Amino acid sequence: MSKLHTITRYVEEKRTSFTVSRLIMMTGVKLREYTPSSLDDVNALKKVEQALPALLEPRELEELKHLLLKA
Amino acid sequence: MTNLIAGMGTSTSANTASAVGEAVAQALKGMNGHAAQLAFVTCTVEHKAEEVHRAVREKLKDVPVHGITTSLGVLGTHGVASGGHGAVGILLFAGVDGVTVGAGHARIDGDGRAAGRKAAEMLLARTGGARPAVVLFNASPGLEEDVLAGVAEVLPDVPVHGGSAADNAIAGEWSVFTSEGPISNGVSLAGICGPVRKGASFLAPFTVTEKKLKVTSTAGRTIESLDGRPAGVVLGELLGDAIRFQVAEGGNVLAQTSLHPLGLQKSDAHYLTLHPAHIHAGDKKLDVFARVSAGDQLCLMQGSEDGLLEALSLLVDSALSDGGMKGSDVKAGVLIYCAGCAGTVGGKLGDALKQHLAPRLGGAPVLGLCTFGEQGNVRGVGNIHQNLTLGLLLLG
Repeated sequence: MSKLHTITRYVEEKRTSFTVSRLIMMTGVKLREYTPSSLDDVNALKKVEQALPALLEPRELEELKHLLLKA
Repeated sequence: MTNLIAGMGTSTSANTASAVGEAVAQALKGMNGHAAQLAFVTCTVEHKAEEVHRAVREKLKDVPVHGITTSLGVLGTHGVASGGHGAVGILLFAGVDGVTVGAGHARIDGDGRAAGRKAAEMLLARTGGARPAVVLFNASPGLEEDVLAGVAEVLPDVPVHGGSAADNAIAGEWSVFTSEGPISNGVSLAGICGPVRKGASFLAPFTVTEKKLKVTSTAGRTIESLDGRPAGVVLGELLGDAIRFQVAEGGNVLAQTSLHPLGLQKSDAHYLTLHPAHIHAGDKKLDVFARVSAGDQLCLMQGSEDGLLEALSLLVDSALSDGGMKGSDVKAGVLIYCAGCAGTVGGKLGDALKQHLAPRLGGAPVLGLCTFGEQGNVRGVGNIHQNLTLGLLLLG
């Protein structure tokens, strides 16, 4: 399961589509192109993980971390 | 009695043809049976610009088309239209009793001035030679200063209001909408001519700090040095930990600097704001989204999220005052909100739009875009291009 897809779905569900677009603008990663079976780009994943604390609450980051461990 | 009729619609439907169809249907309701004479089209880049244009053509036949892609979403008095599959927004205009509208465009093939001139000449030809009261200016990012200069050669002293095409990932996926189709590198102008009331405001909601910097070397929109030292290093000393990594390794600093633009004083009251975008690895040069020259004296400016939101109220006050209008006089509006500012304020933007625009503008349709550069007219200065700026044009 693509971690980038998991992150996108999480942000979309917990926040808004607008927040996903902000994340795309902050990182330059075209998150909406990632499907569950996409291969994650390591550099893209690093950029997105670095940007997430600016958009999510600590408890949400923790919840997302658990989801990513399962992904 | 008004001489301008306008209607607007938005849609977040996933299917592009359906989204355009829904937006057009909503917009036509506001036209009260008048045939549209101009379609101002925008969408986010989840929708393919070619498909959007094709759908607009199917719905509106030969109505002239003007517009650009927007970053993040479509703004309006309703808040922000944004969905997982993108958003479409359409503002239709018609003029009566002497008010006419028209559009012109040109590709930018390395010569912005020539493109601006060509688009303005086409606009003039399509308005039958009528000089516009105001020009909606929308171009792809990169050479806006030159394009404005070209427009001014053909339409001297005509005020412009506009913003630069944008995408989400800053990946060059933007488009400019024209009557002949979307183009990736170009300019579109829409002119509104005749007895129309207009009020405009153009402001960057930042305050000046005491930190001054002299530009000592530039190349286009790259500031090579400030005070004789690499520009990225100097900016890093001012902003500290926020951009320490980018100064060391090179990288994008858009998010970290959106509340800290550089400013160039253009008049007593107006600073041309520059958004620091990228620090080069190695030589530490600094890219910005507007042009400055060696010898220019800059200052560091500062703002706040609240300031970016409350500026919407100032924007309305200022535009109404400029036009000598009341909210009930307004028939349509075009809002330009820098994408960097929109990204900074995030989800609070929708509520701020509802709070500051909707109650003040008498239900008039307002099409808002999140742009990668903003253009407006500053009294005593003329038409300029800058960054991290908000603009509002109200028409009545």
